[in-house]
Amino acid sequence: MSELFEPLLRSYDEKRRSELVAAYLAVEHAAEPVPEVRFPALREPALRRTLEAMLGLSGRTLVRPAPKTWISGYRDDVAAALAADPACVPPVEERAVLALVLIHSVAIPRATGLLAEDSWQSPYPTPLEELRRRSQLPVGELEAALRRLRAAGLVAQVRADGEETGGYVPGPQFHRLTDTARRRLQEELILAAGPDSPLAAAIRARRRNRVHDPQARDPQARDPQAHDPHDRQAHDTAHAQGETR
Amino acid sequence: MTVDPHVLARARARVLGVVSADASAPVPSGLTGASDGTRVWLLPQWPDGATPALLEEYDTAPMPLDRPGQQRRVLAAALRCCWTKLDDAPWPGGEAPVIDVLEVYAGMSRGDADLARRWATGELRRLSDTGWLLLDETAGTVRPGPRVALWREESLASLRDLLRRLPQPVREDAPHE
Amino acid sequence: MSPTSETVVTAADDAPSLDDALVGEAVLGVYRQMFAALARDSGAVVDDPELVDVAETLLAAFADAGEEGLTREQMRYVCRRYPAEVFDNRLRVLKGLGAVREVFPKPNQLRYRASFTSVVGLMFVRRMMLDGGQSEMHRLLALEQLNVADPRMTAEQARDGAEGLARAFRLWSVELITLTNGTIEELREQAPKLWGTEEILRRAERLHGAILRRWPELDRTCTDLRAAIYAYGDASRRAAARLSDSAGTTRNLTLLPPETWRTFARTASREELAAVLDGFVFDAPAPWHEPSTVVTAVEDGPRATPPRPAPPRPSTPDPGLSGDTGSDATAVERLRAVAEQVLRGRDRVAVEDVLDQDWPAARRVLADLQSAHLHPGLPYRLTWSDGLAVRPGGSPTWISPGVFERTPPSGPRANGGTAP
Repeated sequence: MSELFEPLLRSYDEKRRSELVAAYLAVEHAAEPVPEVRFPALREPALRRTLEAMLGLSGRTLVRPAPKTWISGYRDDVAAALAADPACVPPVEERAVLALVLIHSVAIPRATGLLAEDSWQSPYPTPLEELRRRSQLPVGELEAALRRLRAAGLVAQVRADGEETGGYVPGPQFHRLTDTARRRLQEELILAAGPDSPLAAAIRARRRNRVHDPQARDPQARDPQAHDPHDRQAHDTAHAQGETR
Repeated sequence: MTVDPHVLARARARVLGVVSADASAPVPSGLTGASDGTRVWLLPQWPDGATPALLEEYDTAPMPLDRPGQQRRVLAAALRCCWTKLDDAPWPGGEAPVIDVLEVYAGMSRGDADLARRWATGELRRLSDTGWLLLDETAGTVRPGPRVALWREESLASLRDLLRRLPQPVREDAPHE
Repeated sequence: MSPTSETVVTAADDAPSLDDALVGEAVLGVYRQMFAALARDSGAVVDDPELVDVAETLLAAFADAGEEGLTREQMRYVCRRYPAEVFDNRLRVLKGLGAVREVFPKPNQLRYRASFTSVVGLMFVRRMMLDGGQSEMHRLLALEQLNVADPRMTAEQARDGAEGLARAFRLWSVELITLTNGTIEELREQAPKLWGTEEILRRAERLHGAILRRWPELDRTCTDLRAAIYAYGDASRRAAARLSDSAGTTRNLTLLPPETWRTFARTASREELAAVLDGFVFDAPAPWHEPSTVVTAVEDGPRATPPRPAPPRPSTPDPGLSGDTGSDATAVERLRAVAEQVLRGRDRVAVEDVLDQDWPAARRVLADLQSAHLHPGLPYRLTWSDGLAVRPGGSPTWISPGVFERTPPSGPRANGGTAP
């Protein structure tokens, strides 16, 4: 079963090898980011590089949502290529519900200053009533969409607890978004909810520059304002998405 | 910007979950094909025969699952009916009427049998969505799903033993309310 | 408190230049009343927001009191939760700036009345604190647009209006540029109150066009206004570009006001909402069921194979119990009959012996024994031991050693003897 990984694992002794396998399965299947203290293959840079290569075989990459914790997600270029296939994108009713949960559980608490962490996880549930009564979604498809989103770990249900009302929060799958994907999610929400805002204008301008500038892939010729370390991938993804739009 | 097509095929299999193709279609490298003769399902390959069960050894929680116990009991009930040749591998197994599975499950559960059947129906759908069973709702039949082919032979002894002890479906005279 | 103080400082800086147009003690009186609520003493702005609360509490009480006004005791009473010295300070300042006046309705009767201007001033300040200059600018632009269309409006007034707007845009640009060059946190916090949406810029340009059409002679003023609008638009874009390039993957969500988010969530169509997640891919649900966990789930399930402790039983036969478990009394009695038939007076019997008949019949019996075992109201137990006995030629051909037995009478209810 392991011919796929053999070339990468061959050179390691049994102990290292099992450490790599353990870390691989952990980052691929855990619900939450795993602490590197528990996995030598995450802690040691050389092993981590091999782990990254193992994940890369399936188009995955290591994501570090918080210092010293790791999980895996789709590489940005792979995600962009997959997203071009309609079969790989969640159906419209699920995406719509998910967008609402992101707005009520993350965007609004953040805009009102309640959320401090820079994360798509949130302790503020979106009440079912809000989704049912105060959105334009057909009520008929709401429950089924929530059930499927829950099964996929895209939303998590928070049970009502005394005074606290229950509802839905973004699920553990959001740990698995790369920085670039997280940032793009933020941009998409801003473009959708505040298309008239100066920020939306800046986002559009930046995307236009990247799509229209054929030199943009050359770091020398790129927008001098963009210099974050993830930018190379960010740029590639934005580029691809600009074209598929 | 072009992604290696093999890499893309493996990533695609993870996004889609249960993907099948005509049995004659080539299985992309780095994936395992589980064929029932007509269709072939694509399964991931894990290094050194490890499975996600390894997470438990490391005290690491897997993706949360609603009522895992119930889901697994329904899986056991279904396998009781469609993995009848227990000396063989569970995949591809045989076909069994859903109604039999529901009866076996109801027999395993306390309380309202009707309610148990309803719960079990929901679980059958979820097990089918995730490739543990193949459910044909129009025909009212169920058979093992391709993911059971990921089970390692060495891990099956206790399950075989359990399934032998589980009663077979009885529905003619089951107490109906 | 910082937006408030900044606002006030800006207004105070503005004041001397407006003096030319609006002269006289009366104007200064309006200024003082406008900002009396925020004044610490007659020379400076408050340094504690609570002082503004006292003023607000007082002004609200005056509004309720009507033309009678309030006595000093009544004022003290409504402000009773504030310390005496805070109250005294407030009253002195408000009186000094003319926000509260002394009146003598009758000789020897001292009462107080509040000024309307102070209340308006406070409303303005609160609004500025809430959403910064944004909505104020919308109001101002709308108002100017009306003025420009008013036949009574003179060129002189139009120029004053345009100059005022140009000045406001320039000041905003300066502040935005300063922020854009400062820390990202401060920019993120302040920018939404300062920068202009495309809507504001469009309105400003429309107003500029209207002034120029009606009073072509104001072309120089209009050029200035145009430049100020462009500068402001530019400063807004630069601030936005810096923020959109900034680190952080959710932090910029704070840049749209909560109301904007709420409106979008409530009015957007399904397709508009779904578009947010266009291009994102996620894992399909893929729970793992290890064979051993399937075994554990069955063994630890509600129907445990090992003997379970007898459930607590009522001291008298309780027909209601069968209702609780979803079956009727007839079904319970049927199970009891089957169990007793199998036991034939014995306390225990090997399952093997019971099943020694044709399989369809045997499995019916087995199912009933299982149900009897599971029924909390019936005193029977079905247990299986490990292992497997193969019975060539038998039916079934294999069987696990199992025992069906009567549970010890732990209470008066466990009297299997009622069976036929």
